[in-house]
Formats: sequence, C-alpha cells, structure tokens
Amino acid sequence: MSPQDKTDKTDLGAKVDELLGSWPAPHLDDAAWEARAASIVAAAEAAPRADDAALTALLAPPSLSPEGGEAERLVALEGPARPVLSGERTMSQQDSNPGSSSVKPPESMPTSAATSKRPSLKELAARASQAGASRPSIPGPSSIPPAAISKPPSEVPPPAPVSRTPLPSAPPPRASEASKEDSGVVDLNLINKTATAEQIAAAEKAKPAAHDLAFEGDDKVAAATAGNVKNLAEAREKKAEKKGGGAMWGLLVAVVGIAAGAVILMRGQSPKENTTTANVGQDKPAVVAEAPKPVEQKIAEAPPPASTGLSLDSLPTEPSADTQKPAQPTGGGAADPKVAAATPPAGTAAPTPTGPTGPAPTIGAKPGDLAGAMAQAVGGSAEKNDGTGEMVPAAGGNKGGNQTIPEQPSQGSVASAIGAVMPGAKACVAGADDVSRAQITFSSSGTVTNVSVTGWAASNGQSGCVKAALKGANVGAFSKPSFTVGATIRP
Amino acid sequence: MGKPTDRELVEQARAGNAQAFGTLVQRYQRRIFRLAFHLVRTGAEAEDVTQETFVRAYQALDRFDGRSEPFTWLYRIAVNLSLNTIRARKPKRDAVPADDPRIEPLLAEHRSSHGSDPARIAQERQLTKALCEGIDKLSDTLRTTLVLVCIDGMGHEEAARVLDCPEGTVAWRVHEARRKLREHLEKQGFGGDAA
Repeated sequence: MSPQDKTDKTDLGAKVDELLGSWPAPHLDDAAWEARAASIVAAAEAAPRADDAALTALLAPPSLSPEGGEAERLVALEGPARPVLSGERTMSQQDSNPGSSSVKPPESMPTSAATSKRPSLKELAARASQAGASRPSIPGPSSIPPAAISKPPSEVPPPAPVSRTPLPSAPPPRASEASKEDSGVVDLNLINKTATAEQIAAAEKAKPAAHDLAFEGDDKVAAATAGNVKNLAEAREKKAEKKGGGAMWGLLVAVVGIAAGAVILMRGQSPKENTTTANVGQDKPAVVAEAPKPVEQKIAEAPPPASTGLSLDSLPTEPSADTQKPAQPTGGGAADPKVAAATPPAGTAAPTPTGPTGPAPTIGAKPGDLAGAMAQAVGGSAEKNDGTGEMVPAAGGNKGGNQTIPEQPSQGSVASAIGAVMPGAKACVAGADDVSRAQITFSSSGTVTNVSVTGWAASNGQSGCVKAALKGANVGAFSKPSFTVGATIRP
Repeated sequence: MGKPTDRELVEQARAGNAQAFGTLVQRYQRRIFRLAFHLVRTGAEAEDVTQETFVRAYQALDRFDGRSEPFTWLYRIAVNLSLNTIRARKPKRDAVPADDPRIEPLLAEHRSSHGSDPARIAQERQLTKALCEGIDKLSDTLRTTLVLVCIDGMGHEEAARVLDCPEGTVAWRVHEARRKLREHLEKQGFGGDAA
C-alpha cells in the first residue's frame, strides 16, 4: 500500500488537526488518578522548603527562544523581541551543551543584555541614527557581559531604548569621527569638545530618554558629562520658558474659545426668534391674535389629518410685535431672501400687513422652512399621531411633515425588535434538531399582529410558544398599513 | 453550594487546607500530565513532571498573586519543568519507536470510529507515528505552543499568558507548527495525490 493513497493532500491539514485535537493522555482509571493525587499532596506536604531562586525561575515565563522568522516579525509588528533569558538557548546550543538546564529569573537580567539574538536591521538602523549621541558601537550578542551594559562607562550616557518610531534625524558626522578609522571606540570627550552648540543641542534633542536617565539615575554620569549637563540645563530653561509661553497661549485660546462659545450661544437663540418672526410676521393680523395660546393648544387646534396641514395658521405664533422689530433685518435675510425682499428695510416701524394670503405663496415655496416650522410647532407630534394609528398625510406630496415616521420600519429597528424577543423564541425550540421559521407581521403602530410559524416548532407543537415569544416585538410606528418580515429561529 | 473555584481552593490551600490543594490536584492533574506527556514524550517523566509541578506550586502558594488564573500558573510551572527535563536529556532522540507511548492512546481513541479494519488501523498507526516524528522535529518553542493550543485545547489568549508572549505570536507559532507538520507528512508520503 503506497503511502500516497492513504490520505488526500487536501485533507491532510484537517486530518492533522483532528488527530491533534483528539489526542488523549494515556488512560488511567479514576482510582489511579485519585491515588496519584493523594501521593502528590503527600509529597507536597513532605517536601522541604524549596530554594527561592528555583521557585522564581519556575514561576517565570517559559524560556523559549523565538522561532526563526518570529524575531523579525516581533520587531516589525510588536517592537523589540521578548528578551531571551540567560538560561535560554537555541536548539543548537542545547545539543552542544545539554548539561545545565537551570533558568535564571528574568528580573535579574537587564533587557538589553539578555537578548541573545542578533539585532535586526531595523534595530541597527535605529542605533546608527544615534551615532555620537548614544552608544557608539553595537555590542555583539554575547561579547559584552550584562554588567558592562547595565552599567556603562562614565563617559557614555546610558543608551536610549530602541523605539519603533523613527528617531529624529541625527546631526551630521563630526569631523573627529569622520577623520578617524572606525575602531569601534569613540572618544566622547573629544566629541564634546569639538562639537558645536547646535550639534550638541540636536544630539540632546535626538535622545530624550537619555536626559532623564542622566539626571535622575546616575550621578557619576551626570558629573562626567558636565558639559552636556550644562547644555541640558540650558535646554530645560528654554523648555520652561516655552512652557510659560505655552501657558499664556493656552490662556489666550481659552478666553477666545469662551468668547466664541458665548457668541454662538447668543446667536443660537436669536435666529430662532428671527426666523419665526420673519415667517410669521407676514400674517400678523390673523396669527398674533392666537399668540397667547400655548403650543399644546395650538396642536389641538391643528387641522385634521385630512386637511393639507400646511396653512400658515398652524405655524407657531410666539413672537410679539416688540420682538419682531429688531429681529427682522437679520432674521429675514438669513431665513429667506424672498421674505427679506418683502420686508421693509431696517428702521421701518413694522412690516406692512399684507393679509393672510399675501405671504403664503412665498413661505409655501420654501418647504424646508415650513417643515422646520411645522416640526417645531408640533414638537414631537409624531407620537401623538401614533395614537391614532395613522400618519398625517402630507398633501401635495410635501414630505416635510412625514419625516418623523418612516414608510416602513428600518432594518435596524426590525433586527433589534426581533433580537429582543429571539431568546424567548429560542427557548421554545431548545434541543431542536432543525431550524424553525416565522413570518412576523407588524401593524403600522409597530406591534405584531400576526405570526406564522413553520419548521421544527410547527411540527413539534411549539408554534404557540414561539408565537407568544415573538408577539412581544415592536418596531415602532411606520406609515405602511403592515409590514412582514421572516425570521429563522435556530436552536 | 457549588464547587469552589480555583482561586478559592488556592486561598484555602494557602491557609493550610491540604484537602483544598488535593482538590486542585485532582482537578488539573490529568491536563498537566497530558501536557507534560506530549512535551517530554515518556510516561515516567511526565509523571515526575506532574508531581513536581504540584509540589512546586504548593511551595509557591504564597507567591500566587491572583493576577492570573491558577491553572495558568500551574501550566507555566509544568512547561518550565518539562523544558528543563528535555534540556537535561543527554542525546536528542531522532526516531520515534514503534511502541511510542503517545501512539496507542490516539489509536484507541480513533478505533471506535474506524472499526476493526486492520488495514485502516495500520494506516492510522503509520500516520500517527509520522505525526509524532513531525512533532518531535519541531523546536521547543513551536512544540510547546502546539501542544498547548492544538492538543490541550487552550485558547490563544490563555496560551499567551502561559508563555508570556502576544496572542499574535501564539497564532503565528501554531500556524508555523502546523505548516511544518504538513510538510513533514507530505515528505513521508502522506497527503500525496489521491489514488
């Protein structure tokens, strides 16, 4: 039997997964497991106190060296690779030296020193960009002992951690460096002496992390790099000055913002009045007489649904003659140029009453304004209309008055309504081996009027339960007489 | 009153309740044993690792800070002990013996579904043996991750906690291990063109 006809290539992955997923441990009966547990507990109680270091090592993350290709992936996607611990070795190292297997605790090792992998190109580039400002040469994976890296020479400031973000451009190479052979040793004192002030400032700017370390951590470093410290102090003074200036600017911006907010608030109130007065002022004789009536009363007096509902009589009439006078010039101009043209210029005592029929065509020609005014007038009257179960039809095809109730429920409302009652329906078909389907009919008020159930629930006597569960759905009012939607109930 | 949670058992064991620790042992010893068994590949060593895992956990109860689940903690100890056992081994075993203890349990698991067809059983045995060889050829990193995720059924998030690496790394390692296993099996003649 050839192995090639054992397993189809396409099924190999699935077969491997199946085997891996169902791989049991060697079988033992329960009594054997209990006996083992008892012996483990006895051994645990009798065991001598373990070494703290050994326990720490065991509780540390497993020391697994990054897989080939994983390190690059980690550097590229997640920053520097997880440090390899001191006890961590590659497979080749394990083969060559299988003796020691102890794992040292991770906290005892500095991150940079513990990394046994080669630095990636990205890391090299990042370090190279800090040449002159940071550590001059890149250490080999194991050539420098951890202590040497964790405590750098006094002339050398601690290296800034390699960042994923590109570092600021480094200053051009100094003459002292350019003229010498690259022996790997850089005399920072010489560099500091020959460096210009701009170069030092740029170098300090390029390694912000080193600033804090030099100041907060190592006094020796700070003392040895006195020149740098001086520059740093100057830089910090400048920074402080900048901060002071920033505070001033911030204060100024805040004041301007507050002033702008106040202006917006004030203007936000006046346009309403202006717009209303501009629109309503045209039919003042008829409307002003009803002005004292509250809005609710106005709604009650609104024409019945059968009427057009778009006459000026149904508009709000809050403004009085006093408020119209100063508001007319801006409000009229902003609301409708035609109305503005019809209104007298500023300084005129009052608009000339033109009678109810005069301005009506003008305002009627602006359905947007009318719709807004109507919405303001009815103020949530959609809910009131819901009580009748019918929409107010918009005569003349004006959709402005129909915008609060959709023609049919949206997908979102249907989904949420059904989703709310679906758990109850699913409970009815729990344990079913097939799906059930339901046709749910909603009335225009949004409530369920009919549910027809097919599938498993129907054939197993659970349709009543499903119906009862689904009847609780509500999609909100809509203008169509009814709306039907199908739902699948999976157990 | 329901069963105590792992954390409650740890708290009780920390207070000196050995019975609570025994319950914890009973709850997890099979999984720990299976994990160790697939990592160290011998039953005897897996037993040792299992016992050592719980002994060390008992000694380190005071160090359990509750930031992770107790079983994550136990798994981490077990993985560390298994890796130490593997690394302390003198020669690296290259070939999987025919009586490898991992083979029979898997065959027994599938025997019920495959019936008693001798040809089919022989075929499954060959495939399982090749699979064991493929797993053994994986690096410790890939094998540990594969065992945790694919054999033990641990989620990527939990495995990432045990191994202290990002979930994406766990997913990558699992993908890589499966790819290498498939390659190995194809080299062995499995998964070729269907006859």
